[in-house]
Amino acid sequence: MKLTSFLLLVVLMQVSARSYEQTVSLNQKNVDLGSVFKKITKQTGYTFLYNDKALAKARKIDIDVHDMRLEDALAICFTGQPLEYSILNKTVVIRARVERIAENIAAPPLVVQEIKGKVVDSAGAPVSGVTVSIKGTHKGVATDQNGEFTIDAADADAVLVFSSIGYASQEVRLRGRSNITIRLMSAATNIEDMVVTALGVKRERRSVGYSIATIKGDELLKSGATMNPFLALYGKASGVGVNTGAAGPMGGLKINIRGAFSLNPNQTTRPLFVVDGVIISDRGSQLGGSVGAGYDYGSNINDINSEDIESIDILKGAKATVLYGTDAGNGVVLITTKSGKNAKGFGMTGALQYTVESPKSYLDLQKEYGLGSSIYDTVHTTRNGQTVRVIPNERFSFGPKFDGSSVMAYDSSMVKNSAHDSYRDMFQTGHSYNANVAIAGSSEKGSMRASYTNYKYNDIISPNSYQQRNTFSFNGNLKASKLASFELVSNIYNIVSQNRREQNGGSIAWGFPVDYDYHNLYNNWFLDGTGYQRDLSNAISNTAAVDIGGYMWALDRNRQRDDKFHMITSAKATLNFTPHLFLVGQFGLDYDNTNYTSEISVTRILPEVAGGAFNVSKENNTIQTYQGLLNYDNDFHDKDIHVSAFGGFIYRLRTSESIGTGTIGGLNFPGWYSLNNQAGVPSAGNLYQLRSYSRGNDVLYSMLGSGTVSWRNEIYLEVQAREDWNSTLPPQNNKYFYPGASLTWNYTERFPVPHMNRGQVRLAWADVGNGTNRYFANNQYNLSYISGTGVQAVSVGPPSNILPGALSPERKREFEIGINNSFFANNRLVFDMDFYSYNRYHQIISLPVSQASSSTGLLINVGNVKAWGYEFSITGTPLLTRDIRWDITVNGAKQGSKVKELYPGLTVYNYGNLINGNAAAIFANVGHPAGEIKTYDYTRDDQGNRVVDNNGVYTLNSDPSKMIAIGNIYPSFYGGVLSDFHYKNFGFRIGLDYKYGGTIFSYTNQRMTGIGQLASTLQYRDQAHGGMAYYLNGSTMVPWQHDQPAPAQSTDGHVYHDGLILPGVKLDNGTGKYVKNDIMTTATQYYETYANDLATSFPPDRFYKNDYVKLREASISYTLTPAFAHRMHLQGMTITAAGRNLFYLYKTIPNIDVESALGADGYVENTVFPGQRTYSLGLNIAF
Amino acid sequence: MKAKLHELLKGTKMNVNKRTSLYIILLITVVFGGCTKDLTNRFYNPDQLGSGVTDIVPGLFTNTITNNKLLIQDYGEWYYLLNDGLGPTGYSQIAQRYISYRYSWFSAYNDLTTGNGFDDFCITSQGYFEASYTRLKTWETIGSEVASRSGQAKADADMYYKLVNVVRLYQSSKLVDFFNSIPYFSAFRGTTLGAAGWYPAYDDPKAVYESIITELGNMVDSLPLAYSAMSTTAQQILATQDIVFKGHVDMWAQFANALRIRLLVRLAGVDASFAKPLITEALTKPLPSTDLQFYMWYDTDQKSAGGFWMRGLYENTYASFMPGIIMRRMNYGAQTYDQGLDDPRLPVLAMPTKFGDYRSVSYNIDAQTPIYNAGNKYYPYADNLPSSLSTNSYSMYNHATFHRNGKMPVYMFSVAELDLLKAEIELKGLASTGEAAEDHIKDAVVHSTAYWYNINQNSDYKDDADAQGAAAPLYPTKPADNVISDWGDTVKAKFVAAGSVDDKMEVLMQQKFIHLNLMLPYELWSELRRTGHPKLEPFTWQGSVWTPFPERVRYPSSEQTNNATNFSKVSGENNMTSKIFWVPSDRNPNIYWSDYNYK
Repeated sequence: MKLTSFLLLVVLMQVSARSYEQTVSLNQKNVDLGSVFKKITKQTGYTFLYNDKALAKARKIDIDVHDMRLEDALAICFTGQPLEYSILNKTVVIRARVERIAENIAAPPLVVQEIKGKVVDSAGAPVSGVTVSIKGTHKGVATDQNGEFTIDAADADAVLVFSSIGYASQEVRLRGRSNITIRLMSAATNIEDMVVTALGVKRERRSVGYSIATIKGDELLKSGATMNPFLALYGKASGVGVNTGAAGPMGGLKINIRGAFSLNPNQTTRPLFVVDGVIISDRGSQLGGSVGAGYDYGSNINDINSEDIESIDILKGAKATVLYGTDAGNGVVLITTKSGKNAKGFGMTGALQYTVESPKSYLDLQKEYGLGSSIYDTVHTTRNGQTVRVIPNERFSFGPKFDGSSVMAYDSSMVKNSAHDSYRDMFQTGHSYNANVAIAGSSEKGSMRASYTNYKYNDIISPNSYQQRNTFSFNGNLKASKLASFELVSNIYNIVSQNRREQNGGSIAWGFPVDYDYHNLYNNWFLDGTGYQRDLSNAISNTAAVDIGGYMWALDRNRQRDDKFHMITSAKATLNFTPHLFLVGQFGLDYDNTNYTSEISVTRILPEVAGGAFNVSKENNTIQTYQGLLNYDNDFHDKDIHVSAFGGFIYRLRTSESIGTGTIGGLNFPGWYSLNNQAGVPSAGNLYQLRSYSRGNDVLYSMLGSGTVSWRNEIYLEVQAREDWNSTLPPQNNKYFYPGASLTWNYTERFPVPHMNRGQVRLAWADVGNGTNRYFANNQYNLSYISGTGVQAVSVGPPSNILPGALSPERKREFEIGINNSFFANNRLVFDMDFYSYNRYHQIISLPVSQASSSTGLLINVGNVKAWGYEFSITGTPLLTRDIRWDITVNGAKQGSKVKELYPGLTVYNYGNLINGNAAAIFANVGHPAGEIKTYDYTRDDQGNRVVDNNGVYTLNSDPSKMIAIGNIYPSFYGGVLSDFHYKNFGFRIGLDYKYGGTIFSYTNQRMTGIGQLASTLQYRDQAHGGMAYYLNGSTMVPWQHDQPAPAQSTDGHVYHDGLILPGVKLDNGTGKYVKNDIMTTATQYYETYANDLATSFPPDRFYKNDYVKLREASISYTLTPAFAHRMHLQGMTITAAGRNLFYLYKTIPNIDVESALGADGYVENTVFPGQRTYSLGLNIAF
Repeated sequence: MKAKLHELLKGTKMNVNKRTSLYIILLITVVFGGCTKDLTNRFYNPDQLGSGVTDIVPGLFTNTITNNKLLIQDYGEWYYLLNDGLGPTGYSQIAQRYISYRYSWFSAYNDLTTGNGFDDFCITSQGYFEASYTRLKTWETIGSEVASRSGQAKADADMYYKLVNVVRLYQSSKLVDFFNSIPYFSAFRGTTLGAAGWYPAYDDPKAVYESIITELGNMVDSLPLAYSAMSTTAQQILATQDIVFKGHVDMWAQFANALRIRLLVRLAGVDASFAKPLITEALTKPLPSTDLQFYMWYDTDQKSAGGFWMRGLYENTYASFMPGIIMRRMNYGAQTYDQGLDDPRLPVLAMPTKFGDYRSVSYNIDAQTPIYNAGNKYYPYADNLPSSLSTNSYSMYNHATFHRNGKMPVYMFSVAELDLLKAEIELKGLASTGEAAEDHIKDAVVHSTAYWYNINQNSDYKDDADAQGAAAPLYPTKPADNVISDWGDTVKAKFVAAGSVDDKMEVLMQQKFIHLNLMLPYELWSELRRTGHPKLEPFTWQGSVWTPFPERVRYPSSEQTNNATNFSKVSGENNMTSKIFWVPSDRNPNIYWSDYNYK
């Protein structure tokens, strides 16, 4: 080895001897060596290789030489300096002078090696454009198209740093090697990456003392782009639950972090969403709610464009969110959009994707029996003097079998009675088209990225139901001077949606009879010859047919449109006062403006125009954020101690406003949608239709501070605090303070463990505060006018709550402990786990009191809910060869809660109802989990047997004191599994997500059982389905044989086959005791007990635990080899074929999709739409 | 200010640093001062009434009298009252469904335990109990205003305090009639009474009744005085704000006094010594000489929107058939309406069948089922009059008078009801009214006939498109006065002919049912529970003959949850069969007829 070095040195010396002939001219006074070297480089082409730290110790010099030999000039420069140098090739290598004990010991030879290497990705493919630099020097090169590089290193043990966009930076110590191959990990799978913490502060993950889930942008696109990034977030972050509701992808989304257990139904449990430092206005998700025309419009988070996302970082615990204060009681979702900082080549990318949206109905309808109340219930009418059978106007589908008999349909045509795929036929195959082009570039002065995305989506419910989105994204930063740099990020969205999904609870109550062909029903019965609605006022019409006709009409003729302009803008200036002190000022704006127009067609034109309406409204929300933070960053004790601190102020103002108007009394002329086409006359009584207006605003002033002290890479201690002044709280109590602290110990830095790359323990604690909803904590009077009373009388309503004292903020105190361990080379196994426990206490609640007090509740701070759970994520690479790589991630989260206390003396609190009245309601019961659903049980005897009534069917026990806990609104365990398999240039991905627990009440399963339309209601209907035979004697059911004709005493000569005796007991009137039930009832009577039209109480078996395992995504992709791409003048190209929402491996709730609640935030299903499978084909190109 | 400060600073020997510090402190003070004000301003909702804008008291009063469930009956309540036919109207036989075996749920008719039979859902779930208190929060709020004022402002507010109190007393008495024990003495006072007011105790119902009666007496006396103490301007405002009596405080006094008599007569059955002198006294105080009622400020023909009770009736038209115990007391001889032979109110209250006559549905389901199955059906809605007239096999209540009447008044107190109370007072010797009981009966018939013809003739349903020009049978011509008077004599004769007090009470209560019918069903149920009259049809289902008699409705479950400690003291009586305190021990024990051959 020594011999080799010596020979190398000799050779190099020979080569470099020629360079001594170079001359230089210099005339400088009191200059540092660095600037002298620059001049020499300029004159001679010689480069200097040195360490900043070493050069910093050199004194300044005066030099005045003319055409002097380089060697002599250098001698002047280095005279008396603590440095020594040597010239190798055309490089001057400088290092700190080593004092030698004895002059006769020779200096170690200075060696410059040419290092060659290659960079490949996890699949073994070469990676071009990777920056390779020598740590501590200015020396750097980039890999070529084959991923290869050559760099000179003066130190055989130098550290090479490899960095490239999309990959985690990697440092490699040469250890004497001159030829190396480096495998770069993609950023998403590497634990050594940076994470974005509160207020956008980027930190090394190893330094963070609390749980942050990071999802990189490309992770969201692996199985194709979704309408918004959250739709691709299922199962990707432990402890973060995602779901949508019946409104489909155009509707709201729920992101729930660690349960967010609140006892105040008015308090949001949604996390705070922040895009590039801008707080986004958000709202709950509800179908049939009070916003706009009652659709589930989602919120501003729906608008975010997947293609523009760099990363999503989810701050889960209280400590992580301390710096966001009031807004972040339920966690924070930080979204960082892409910038041009790592642009390569032309810096241009393009993406195209076509997606097919295929409806998948989970509604399992029976197709054996038609409308009617019994199999002999045929209805006839006279047509052209002949008696013909008709499809009856019935609600229940317990009628005759579909046997192909001739029956008269709605349009008076004779058809064969048969079952249709009518429900499925109502839906179409939807599609979407996505095109994105982005251009980015960077230089020493800064970087820019601009992107445009065009997205068109057509929903499965109608060709008239669509969304069109145009998204412009700009991200620019400029290093204007040493002192100042600026950054401007702006995302602009224009989103037009039409005919969103409506609630169809009416249809559920009356069902989707398979007797009809709905298209025929609509075209030939619901519409008359004029093309408008038939006058049905004199017809006794089947309500289901009218409902379905009305539904099809609304989608066909009406246009409910919302046109939204949305802008998220952040402007930031950074002033670097000294290398250790800088100030960051930032302005953030989330602005949206939506114009709602509602064009409701006239329903009839003859004998006169009837119906129709035109309504418009405008809604505007803004959130303005202004913040100024002074930062300090420095090292001490030879960089062993690092201190990082910042402090400053934040001002946040939220405003919202909406205004609307509409026509009165229908339209005059069909097809003209204008207020000028109003048929009615405005009056005091319909003033509310003429104008509506609402507004509100709230403000938050904050001061905050944060400090971190670390010892080497081993220990990090962070302390943070914030003080808020919040206008949602009464003036006397609107100020509050909250602290947080965390400690991270990377113990393997001190105690190396075999095969373990890193072992980390982290602890965090915080006690955060929260205000409440705008105007919730004040007690003002409502004023209205009693119109039509001559001089309008004034009506004043007192506040419904008692306010015994000024409210103070609610609090959440959380403790968290976590570990993060990585093992084996290339971190082939990483295990991350957190345990957390928090108390949400001092909650602001309208605590119900006896309404005999004349008030409904006490507005007080009360209650304490303890919640706990754990989250884990295991990432492994079971297979890794030259051509094959298989990465797999399994994550999961378990959560639980317990109501610790309510108000003194109060043990139960009903804080939400699932149905009309509180017969199925959500309770906080001291000692029980929060979110318990209680409802009426079946009437039971002492042994728990169900009791039947005189008709032989079960009844409910409506005694409120006998209500039972039937479930809980919160899931108990959820997570996901991701598998990425790479073979050469092919990538295969499979993503699963799963959830256990979380009860939902299903109207579809309730009502459509009651009316006999679900396939499950076939049981007991006939002999084949377990029914018992009987005949009727009067109204008495007499057991009989299926294959025997009815005896003479039969009232109607029929033998029926749908008898059953329900298991259970009946009351023996003689003894007053319960005895085994022997009362025969009919399948019809049994199922009809599920059709409670008053919606007052429902059997407990219609509440479903909503467990599922779903194949959420699967894809196959092919990436061109770099060489081939290069021949096509491309940086890269990938083709992806993918499917999403493919199927359930397991689900507990029948007949509906698991995500069918009325709004993503809800627990009640009352609208049935098919699920949606999407298949996409995408092309991504980089230039 | 700024300049002056600058001068001041200039004049001192402060160094620059100190001056800068002062500027900074000043800036912080200004900014912080601004923040404090900003925070306070934004705490309040700009679209809700803040302090100092207007006098809230008149508006609080109007809020009370225009809120449903207090004076005005409520849509939701009526929806559930009628819908399944098992509510108080069904069991009191005021309005019925046309039942056959197809309504299997009637097989539970005899069940007074689980809620599957007698159905009190219209009260328990529709917030009757709760709203009775919360919608009278105005009483406490006005009370606090009065207490905080002095002089004329106090006097002006005090008038409203008394009027709202009358409504509170009225509502409290209705609560006792439903539930027996109720929170009363510490109720309505959650804001001012502290924890005892948040969880008010349940009080002895008799003590509550007596207190209400005493307070009503005080109101009768003090209302005119309070009115005269008001300023002229305040009186003018009252005339606008008082939707009920347009500022005629004398009418409020008459109402309070009439109400007092209603309650005293009810109480007399269990404590005559308390009631008698007060009845005597009340008879000397102002009483209504015309029907006390008022009209809503909107069209009450509410087919699909609004919260007026008639919408509940309209949406449950199929549950508004007229029962035998009312119809048979109006329709004698042939089934057609025969003037002179039949009660003149018959064609106003009931609607003809497809046979052109008046027939009541029956609770003999065994007998009625074959009739239905034989094709005698009905049109279930009130939106197509020709269909109703050509299809209905039995008589519904008159769609013009009830379901589709755009000018249905709100009942406060009628002269006819007072006549019937006086008749009972005379009959039972509770006080002297100056007229014989039978003459009061006749007066009641005459006044009631005038009352119902008036309501019928005001109805504009005949002009509605749904009537399709077929409304004539629903608008009978009012008979001549002598015909009505003769019918009064007919009923009077029946009353005289009845032997015992109980038999006379049967006639009297039959008249009360005819008169109040759908207008005041809860009051009729109370009177039925108190007297056992008029006697009801038994319910016959599949050979079983049932005669259940619900005595009360259950408390809402919210009380069990939110007022548990106090509630536990009354939970033992929280069923449908415990009697209200005012049920006398000698109530008619034979509440049901033994068969269907009654007259």
